[in-house]
Amino acid sequence: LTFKMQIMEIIDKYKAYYSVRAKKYEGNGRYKNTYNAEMKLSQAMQACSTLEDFRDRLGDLNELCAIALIRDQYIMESEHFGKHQEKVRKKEAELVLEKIDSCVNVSDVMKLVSDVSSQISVEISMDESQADAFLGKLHLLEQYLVYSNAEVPEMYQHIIRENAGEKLIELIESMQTVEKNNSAWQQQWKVNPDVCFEHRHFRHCPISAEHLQELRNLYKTIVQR
Amino acid sequence: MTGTFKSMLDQIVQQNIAGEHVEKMTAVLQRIDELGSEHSDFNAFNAQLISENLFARFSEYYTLALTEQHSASGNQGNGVYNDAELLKSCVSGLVQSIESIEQGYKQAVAEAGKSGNAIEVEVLQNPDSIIQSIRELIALGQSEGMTLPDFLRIQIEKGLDKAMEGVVVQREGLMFEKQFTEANPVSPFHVEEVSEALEVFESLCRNSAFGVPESKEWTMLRDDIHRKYVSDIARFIKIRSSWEDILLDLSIWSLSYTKFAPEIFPWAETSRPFEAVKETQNINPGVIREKLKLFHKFFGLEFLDIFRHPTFLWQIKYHYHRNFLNFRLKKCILCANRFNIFRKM
Repeated sequence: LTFKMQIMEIIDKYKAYYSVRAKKYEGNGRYKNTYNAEMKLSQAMQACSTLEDFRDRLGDLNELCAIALIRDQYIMESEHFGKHQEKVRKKEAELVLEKIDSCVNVSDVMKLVSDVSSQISVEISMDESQADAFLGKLHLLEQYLVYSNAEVPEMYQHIIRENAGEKLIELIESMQTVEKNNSAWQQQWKVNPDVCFEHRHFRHCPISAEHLQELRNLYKTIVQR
Repeated sequence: MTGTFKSMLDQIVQQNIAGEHVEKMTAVLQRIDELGSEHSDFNAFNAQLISENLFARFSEYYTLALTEQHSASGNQGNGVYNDAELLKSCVSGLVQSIESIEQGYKQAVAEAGKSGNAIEVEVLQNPDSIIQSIRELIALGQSEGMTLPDFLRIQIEKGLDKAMEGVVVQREGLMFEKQFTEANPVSPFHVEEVSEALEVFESLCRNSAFGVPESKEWTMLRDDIHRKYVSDIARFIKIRSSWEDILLDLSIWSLSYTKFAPEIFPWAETSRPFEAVKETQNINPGVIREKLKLFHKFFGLEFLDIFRHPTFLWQIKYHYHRNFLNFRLKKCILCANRFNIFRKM
């Protein structure tokens, strides 16, 4: 083959490649923006007749495809976390989608994603800590109730009440530890068991809301929060 | 902890990449080292790294340094298109990725070996399937007459472009998870969840243009399935652990009435075994009654309901030996009734 024919062959192959790229997202409603961007890229490429044309027509179309893919992924994430009432996790998608239009290239988008993701990952950890601080300690509250209320012969009462006291100390110390650790990430972070009634946490709770409220009131009295 | 960053910087230096972004990488690494020497508390150190966004900044400069290098090498040859050279560069990137995956795996196994968990990491994090997918890509790139545009197109059509995302090994991973769950079924919900996940994955594959789903789409759908079962799983496990705890107390309490109790665990471990046995005999009934009260309050279940409950029947079917249970329970319940342990129920 002559060099010119080889180049023509390569051009056709690139056209087929760009066409397949768009086809990958065809009919998938979750990737609407990506499909549109890929289609624009493919259409521009199909009109090329020389390699120079490719370079000229490509412009920022390839970058726009990458940005469209990130946009679709965050739209999906926003809908997903919205549907599941994950208000903290949803923030990352919301912030990225809010600012993505101000990005001029993929590097800008990557920087945006990385900044927002770092910021929100701290918020997510703090939020998860609330669940761990209270829901994760329900067994201690139950043990405290058991040892406080158990009826035992007089001469053994001091032992069972000592056990109850140990559970109280465990609850208070675990609260103090998590508050100290989390304050390194978010100043003045405090345990707040009320957060655990929000759906994203409550779905992990094995008992009814009414019973959890009783334990929450007891917990608040014990840890003074 | 900074080992990964140092090896990333070494890799850049070895490729003779220099310039503004590499200088910034070096500065960030120096800052991480500085913070490491300032903080004795790992948590505070980590918090500082996050608040200064050092991990993300380092990765960003790393990407920019590599991108710049890649663009510079793509322009070599005075703008003359060289398909073979471009294809070779893509394939060599894949070869390097296998090396770094293998290196990461060896490091993870060695690290786990320090705490005696090497075998677990060796089996569960084995990257052979991903490496196999990347090797298929390399073989495609090295096949005779291959051109860059064909290489790029065929990998999409065959779903090989998903090799690095690991999506191609999802089916295998899900099947392993299903078999593992069926062999050790924690609850019926765990079994249903993984079966549904496999079905949804297969359906997503069927509906994808080239048979391999987009990773984000799959991640969201997998999470939907997990969320569907999470409350049932939490309740199942809590009910089971509550009655297990009650039965254990009951079992220890009944055991305390044997002649040899002071000579066995837990009483033999105490400084005064005979007194400890008496303690168990006197304290456990009150404790068991209180636990049963909470069990009834939270789940509406009485003591005898335990043995009809789906969580109990599940344990009998998959986890306990019936003879052991029969022996243990008959003895325990007999003993409990004789001593009127349920009097306030």
